[in-house]
Amino acid sequence: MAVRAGWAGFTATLLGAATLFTAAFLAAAFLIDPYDTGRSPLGLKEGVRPQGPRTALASRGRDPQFSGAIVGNSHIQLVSPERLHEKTGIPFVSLIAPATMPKESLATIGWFLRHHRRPPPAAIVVGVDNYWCTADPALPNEKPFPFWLLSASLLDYLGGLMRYDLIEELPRRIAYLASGKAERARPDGYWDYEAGYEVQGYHQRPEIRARLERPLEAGGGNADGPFPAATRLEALMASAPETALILVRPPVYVSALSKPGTPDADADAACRKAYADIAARRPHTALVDWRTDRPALHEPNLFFDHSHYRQPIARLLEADIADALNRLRK
Amino acid sequence: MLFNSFVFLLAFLPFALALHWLAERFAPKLRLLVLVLLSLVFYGWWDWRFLPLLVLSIGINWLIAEAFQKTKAGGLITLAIVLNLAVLAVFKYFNFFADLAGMIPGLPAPKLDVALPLGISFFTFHHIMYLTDLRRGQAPRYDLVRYALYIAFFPQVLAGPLVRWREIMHQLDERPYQRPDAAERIARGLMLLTFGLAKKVLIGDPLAEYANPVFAAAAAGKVVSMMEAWQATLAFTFQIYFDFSGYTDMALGLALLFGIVLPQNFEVPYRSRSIQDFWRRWHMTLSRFLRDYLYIALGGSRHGLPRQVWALFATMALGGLWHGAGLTFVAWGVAHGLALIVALFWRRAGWPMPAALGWLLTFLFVVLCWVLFRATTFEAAVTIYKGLLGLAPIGTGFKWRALLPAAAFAIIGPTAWNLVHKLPPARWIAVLTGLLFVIILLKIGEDANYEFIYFQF
Repeated sequence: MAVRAGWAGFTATLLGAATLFTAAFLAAAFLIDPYDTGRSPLGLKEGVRPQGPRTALASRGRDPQFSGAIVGNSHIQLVSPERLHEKTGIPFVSLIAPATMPKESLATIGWFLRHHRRPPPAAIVVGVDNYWCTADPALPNEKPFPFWLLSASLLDYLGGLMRYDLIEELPRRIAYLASGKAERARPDGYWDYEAGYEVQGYHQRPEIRARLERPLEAGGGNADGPFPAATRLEALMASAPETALILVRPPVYVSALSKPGTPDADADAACRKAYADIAARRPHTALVDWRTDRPALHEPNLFFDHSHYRQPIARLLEADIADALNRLRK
Repeated sequence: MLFNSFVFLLAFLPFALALHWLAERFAPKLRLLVLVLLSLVFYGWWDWRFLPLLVLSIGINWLIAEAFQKTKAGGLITLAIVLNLAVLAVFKYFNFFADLAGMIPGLPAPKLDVALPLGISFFTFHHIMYLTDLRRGQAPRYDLVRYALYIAFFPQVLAGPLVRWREIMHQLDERPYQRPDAAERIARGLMLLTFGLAKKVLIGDPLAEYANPVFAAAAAGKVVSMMEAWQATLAFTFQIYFDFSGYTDMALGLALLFGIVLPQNFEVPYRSRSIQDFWRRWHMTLSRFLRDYLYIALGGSRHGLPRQVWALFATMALGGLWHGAGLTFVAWGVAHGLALIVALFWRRAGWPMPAALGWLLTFLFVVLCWVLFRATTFEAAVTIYKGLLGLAPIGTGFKWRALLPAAAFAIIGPTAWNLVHKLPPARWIAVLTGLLFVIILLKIGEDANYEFIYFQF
């Protein structure tokens, strides 16, 4: 009987210890708020330590100093929030995350809207690249993304906090919170990848330039709809009818533009129409379409690859976005 | 669902244990039915569309067994075994044989685009074991619920161990929580589950990061350096051990929680001193199955040397094919078969084999064979072999940190089963096991690294 009680006690201790350790870890993580989501009841220092944009955008997205947001992936990444601010007067934050698709962008927009209810955001600029043309209602994404961080559900968030890498992150977070000198991640989220052009030898390697001239042909695509990403975006923006929405079809190198009369062109036209229709239907909305033949798209030195442009094109695109925004606000 | 998932550990398992305890306590007659239903939920969670396959497989085999009881017509059992193998062939081997046929000019090679139902290789063998023993007059009749539980018991339905009916069926009629050692079994079951999870999640999974990129590079036709080849091959050697033996430990621990003792599957295989010894220690329940239901059926050792050599070769080649529908798996099985044949001749010649040399040769052979098992094509395997043999650049940066503890654990031991059964019910052990369980949960929760580099457009 004694042995039985001993083993029963062992099990109770094991389960009790596991429960206590879990609760203690979750409580500590919740209070320390590793990614500055604002969920902690403690009045913590603003911002996060320098880190990747996926985890940093929760903090940036709720920063009240910004009333405009740029959302998307590396195809809109070089659009500078600072320069948009100069041209429009709207303080912008870049909430881009490289290698993301509509699902991540929609979650990010949802987070930004939830944290900017009163007053509602002045403007949201969304990079609607080819991924936004999918017909798949699940909007599948390819790379890991912390949806739990942006979730409206507390349970999702607590589940997400059960992560091994927080064992490393929590001490770093405490160091950031405790030190007055700790470096803070750039609040406006701008991340310039222009330096990679030289580092990766784009200017020296002719084979990379040659790759650029190869036409990109998908052999068609979603020419008949539906466009669930467009539908979801429109529904999401319905909660902020006064917010200006700029839909940007990002620039691509000329060889990536579809040839007229091909199935690719049909699919591209159908997708463009889906977003043009939103721009026509929804007040304070404009489509800035750089996926059309323009002189700048013929210059190979202004591109990394078919869909990643360099700073000179970003400047032109910023000007178009600012013009569109200023027109909407007149 | 996977054992190493939140949904299993934090939702299904507590719910299943509570329901099972209620049934055992208040409605013992329903206990087995509850276990069957839980097992079906567990299986269907992955993809409910395959649930009918498992249910039909149980129902048809049971009906045939019933018919055999009445008629004693051996042809019925043959029919059932052929049907089981045919289902396995369609789901697992159709495209493999279609590819083989496609190599013959002029023959059409139709492809079947179906997902492989999880655990089909295992439950097919369970049916075969029972039905064969039924025809031999060794197995009794079981009602549908008991038979269904034998086939679908959730701790072992997906990846074994391959349980013989006589190892498990007598346990089903017990009142597991009325046993004097019930509390000890539950405690040791929890420890075994935790240690099995730790083996997979904390030791096995990190090794995959050493192995996967190198094998992927080989598959992509890239050159693999000597350092990379050894790093990847050794990493996979230990990864597959910790992954599979960890899974078995979890299965054994889970079964203990429900009052069932399942057979062990691994006994420090990398300590083997001969290839025969290795197969007595590696995936032991499969080795037993292959020996009892294939090797002996093919003639075994009682019909002269040539027949024995053939039986060994064919058994291991088919055993290789069972592991995966590809010629690389067959080659892996054939290599092991040939090694067993060489070892047979060595023993018959009475030549000596010093223990240390025997261990070294066995370990090296097993390690080299894992390349065939892991590589997706023969070309990729050759690339890795070139690296291993120094027919490629030497390379730099051999990653060893995760290899060292894995090698020490795998070779020196102890096994999780032995460790768990030696530990006393001390409070500090319970607290440390609880802490280990939470660390594992955190590791499972870490679904992805969000800090990946994205500059190589």
